[in-house]
Amino acid sequence: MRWLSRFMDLREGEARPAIEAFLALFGIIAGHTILETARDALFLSKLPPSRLAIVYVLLAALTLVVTAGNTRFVQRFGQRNALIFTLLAAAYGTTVLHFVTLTPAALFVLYTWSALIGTVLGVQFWMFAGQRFTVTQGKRLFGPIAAGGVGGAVTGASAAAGALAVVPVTSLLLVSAGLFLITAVFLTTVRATDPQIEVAATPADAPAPPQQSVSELFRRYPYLRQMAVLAAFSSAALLVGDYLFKSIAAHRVPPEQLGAFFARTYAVLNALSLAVQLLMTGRVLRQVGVVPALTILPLLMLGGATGVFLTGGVLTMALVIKGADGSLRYSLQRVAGELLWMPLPSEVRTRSKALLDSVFGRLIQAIVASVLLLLATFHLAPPRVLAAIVAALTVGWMGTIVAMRSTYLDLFRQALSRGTLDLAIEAQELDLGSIEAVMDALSSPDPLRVTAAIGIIQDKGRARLVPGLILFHDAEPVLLRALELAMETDRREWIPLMQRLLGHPAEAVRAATVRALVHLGETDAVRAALDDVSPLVRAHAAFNLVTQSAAERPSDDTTIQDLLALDGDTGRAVAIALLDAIRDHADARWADVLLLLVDDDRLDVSEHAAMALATIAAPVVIPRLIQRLDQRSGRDWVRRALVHQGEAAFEALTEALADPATPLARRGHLPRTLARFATQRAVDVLTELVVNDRQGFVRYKALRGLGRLAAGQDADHRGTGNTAALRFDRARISGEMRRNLVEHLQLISVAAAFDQRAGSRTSGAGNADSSLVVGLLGDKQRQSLERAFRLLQILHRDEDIRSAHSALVTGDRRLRGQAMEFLDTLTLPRRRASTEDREARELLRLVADDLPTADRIERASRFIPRPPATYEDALIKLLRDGDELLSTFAAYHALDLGTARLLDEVARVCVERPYLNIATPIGTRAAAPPRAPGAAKEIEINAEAEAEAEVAHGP
Amino acid sequence: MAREPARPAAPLITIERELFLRSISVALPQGGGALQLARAMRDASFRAGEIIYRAGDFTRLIHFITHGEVELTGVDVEPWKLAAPAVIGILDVNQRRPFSRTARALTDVRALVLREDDWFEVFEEHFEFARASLRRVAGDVHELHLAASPGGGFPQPPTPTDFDAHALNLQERTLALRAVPAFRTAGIQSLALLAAGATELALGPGERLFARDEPSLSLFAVARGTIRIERENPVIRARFGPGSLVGGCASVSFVTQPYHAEAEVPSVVLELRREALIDTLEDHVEMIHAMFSGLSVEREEILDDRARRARLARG
Repeated sequence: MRWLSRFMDLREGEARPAIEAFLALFGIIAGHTILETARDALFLSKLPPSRLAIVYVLLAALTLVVTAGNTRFVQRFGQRNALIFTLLAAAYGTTVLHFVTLTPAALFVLYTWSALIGTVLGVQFWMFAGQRFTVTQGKRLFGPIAAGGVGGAVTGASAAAGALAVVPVTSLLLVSAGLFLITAVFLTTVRATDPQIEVAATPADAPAPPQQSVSELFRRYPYLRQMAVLAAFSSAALLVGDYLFKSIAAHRVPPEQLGAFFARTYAVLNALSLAVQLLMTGRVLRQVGVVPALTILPLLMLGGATGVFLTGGVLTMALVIKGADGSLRYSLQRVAGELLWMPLPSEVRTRSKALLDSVFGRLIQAIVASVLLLLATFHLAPPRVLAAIVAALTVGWMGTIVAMRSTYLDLFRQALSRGTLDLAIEAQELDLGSIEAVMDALSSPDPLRVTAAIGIIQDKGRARLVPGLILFHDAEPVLLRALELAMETDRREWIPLMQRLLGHPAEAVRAATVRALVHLGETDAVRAALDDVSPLVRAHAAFNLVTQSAAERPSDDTTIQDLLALDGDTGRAVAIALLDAIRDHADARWADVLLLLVDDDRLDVSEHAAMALATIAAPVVIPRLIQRLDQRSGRDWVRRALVHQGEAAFEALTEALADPATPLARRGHLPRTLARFATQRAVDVLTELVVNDRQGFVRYKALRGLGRLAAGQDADHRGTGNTAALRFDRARISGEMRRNLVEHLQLISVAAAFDQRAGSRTSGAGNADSSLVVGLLGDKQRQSLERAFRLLQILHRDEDIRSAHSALVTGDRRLRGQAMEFLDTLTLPRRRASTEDREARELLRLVADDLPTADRIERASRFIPRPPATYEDALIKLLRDGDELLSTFAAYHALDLGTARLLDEVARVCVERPYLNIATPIGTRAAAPPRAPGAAKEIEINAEAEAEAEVAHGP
Repeated sequence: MAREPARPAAPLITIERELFLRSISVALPQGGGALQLARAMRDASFRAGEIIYRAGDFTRLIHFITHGEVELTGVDVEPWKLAAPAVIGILDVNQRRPFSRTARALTDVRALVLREDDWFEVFEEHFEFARASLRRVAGDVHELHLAASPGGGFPQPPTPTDFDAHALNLQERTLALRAVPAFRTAGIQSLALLAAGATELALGPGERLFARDEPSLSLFAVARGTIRIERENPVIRARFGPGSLVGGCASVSFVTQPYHAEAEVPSVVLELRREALIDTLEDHVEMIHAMFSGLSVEREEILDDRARRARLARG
């Protein structure tokens, strides 16, 4: 099939289904064209043309019935089986008609039969094709497939003309039936659908689609309503345009030359249509996208109509209208129109397509034809009026298309996010049913259920719904949670109930009560707690009372010092009590204690110190907080504390980033901390880091931070800024995305060289080592793609790019196709798109497209260096790679393989980049003295190498 | 195929699902995370005797049983009986394999069904939830180990080979970590990062690795030799060889060391600082999946071992 791939973008595994679809359409249209020829000749030879009006009415009514039946039929038996059955029925019915006596009634039957068969077969075929191909395949293949229809029409017409020279007209019915039969038999050899697509289309876990009436579907899908408007405008415009052309031709061309004129015109238009179909349709769809491609025909018609209007009816201008119609309607317009249906769920498509394509179309044609008849009857249809009508209709047509772009994208958004989480989820109001459920949970004896209910109520901003009686609950966790709630929501009316808890047997409850009462200003009530048997309760009371005193340096208080001197579990609990008290009062006088305890070895104490630091404003703590970022425990609170310090902390963080003395590990935590400030400056600094920082690890962290800012995630609970107002440098981000996509493709090309070797090798040394190199290459590929999508998400903040990314990396071809079409439409170039933007889009399509690796690499050749030709070349390329980890693992593997060329290259790399520390461990393997098992000995790897490795390992 | 129930009970409203999620475990996400999960779930109900899913199905669904009892059966394995609240199917989902057992409703059962994608997506969005879930699941597995006294249900280590004394290079460290079930499906880059940051400890026979009740600030992966652990009340005696974490994947949950550990033969151990591990997990979500997978394997081994012993005890 390689010869075929030269003419069209045909991928592996696509040739067969595409050719099958082409041949099926060819057979259907050829058979139907012959049937139509026979029908017209028989009908018009035996009945006056005026009887056609009756046929049209009959057809409109029958189409409605047949369409409804067709939908149910297809749903029940599937697209392919329905098509086969209809073809067999067409063959049988047409054969029967051949043998009946052609009375006027039989002629009516013949006419309506052929028209209905044509309608049903057309609809069923495109449903079949829609099921068989994904949207991205459709964009490439529907053009060539539709050429089968054009070819079938030409062949059918020629065959009919030729046959009529030797056989009577009625014999054409048998020829037509024969073609239907052959096509039906051929279709029985065709696989129902691509198994991959079938699996994706009907996942076992997918909820059964609810049966909705067509009107419900139209209500639910605004897109369907737009499709109906589009069908109305396009049908009307094309009909009026056709009438305009014919009326002008009738006036301008002598009657005796009309036949020849129409014959020539139609011949040229058929040829044009075929050429457009074969040469342009696919290319235009890929370049400009489905929705914009639909504007080409109305735009050309508008041009022609304007010309007719201005010139008063010059035939050339009318030819522009008809030319656009004739060359595009059954090629580009047809294919793009079919693709418009693709984002709709299969069930919706099946039920609504036939209705819109046939019934609605015919209805519109009937109405427009009536209007034209009226206008003509009253001599109100001169070319200028008709041209104005065409112009108005094409403007409406284009307007509808423009409006459809966003709904078209919406459908892909829905398809991609179906069944996944709504990440931009927002807290919802509690309705009556929900309130009943949570109130019921509040009275549960299960403490987990009660605390869950309190959490939900608080999250919904309805904390006042929690009754004070909750303080009578038996369970300690419930009481602790309720006391916390009392502080957070200032429940002063609970104070009498809380005082009762000062005598609770649980130490933690008494301590929490003291804390809550002090927080609510009830200091008198807690003086008694100074005599409590529990040091924790006493500490809470003491700290809170001292904190409320006017002492300049409360930590000098001897009681406090005594309490802080306690050790063990009591000491820990006391320290935490102090830190909680400081946090409650946001008191900067305690800064010295906080700085002391934030370094405490006890992780929970250190974390509570960080929490308290997040509430006080004291610039003196900033350097210490930045150092404290090294420690994982409480890092989130340290970040909050830094944000709380404001601009001074931001400056200190940027200075730390620029300071070469800042430890690498700490540097990695600075970007996410900067992101917490959620300011425009944070965006600018992070963007600079993403693009220019020397360390991949820091670049990645900055990208994550930037992504969170773009998504408004960090600012949500900080309230530090309105992230919607933040501006992101599109050009730099787009450039960075382009760089990552190129890297991704480049990695694919290198990995391909390894894959070839793996495929050809059955055994050999260094398998494990190569698995590390190959595994790392795979990681790098995934990460570069992930980074590109994170950047794309920043460029399109309101879109769910993540779902598109997920869809692309799954094996589900249909979902992948939808993701690709979504991205393709989303990244359509704007008016002043830069070359980089265009290239980024092209690269995105290259990585997203369903392509075999070799094909992908070949298509990427203009963006990436020449791929390594051999395994050794690939290994040497990795040895020289800037990524130190990749280079290191490649070196290990090269040494294991041990060819002279590889060993030379490793030696060279070791000289050029001694910090990689490749040679030392490998070289000393045999010579290393056995380590005497004895006292435990730590073997630290070279500190410098470790630090560098961290840089290299940043995703 | 897992079947949609033909007769669903009245569906749980989102708030009830959220309540259920928040109340079955402190490890499950709170706030937005719980709401996200609640929305992604579907209701299902099954009559007593009805099959919820069959062994071999690959639907990647997790069932949160809210009411009723279920039984999980398989070929040549002891049946497991679970009552609400329980989660079924998660062991298979974590290991990304078809269901290994058939789930059947013993009573009328109501469940909330969640897709694997949604489950892991929440991990990515709510790292603290992922971390807490790991700790919680690891804690459960540790409890199972303790209940499997005296062997703890740990697999037998391989016979030690000749001791190779040289210091491990980065490649060897990475390979040593990749052999550990908890890291088997992790990315090479994240493993290399862990490996580079690990501290290599050489221990002679009888030398102590850690003592019981010491703070557990690190995990220990055996690279060479054999490490022995022991404890009393309940009694646990077990040995760990290359390709294992001392204490199993469950050691992720340790706050203090529940065992005393020492080298049985000359051994090399990679010490992974807990903080470094968590930092790596945060940036490499695939490592979280890998750890869940490792925990699932470990849990399954213990449950099978327990069921086997129960059968032997019954004679």
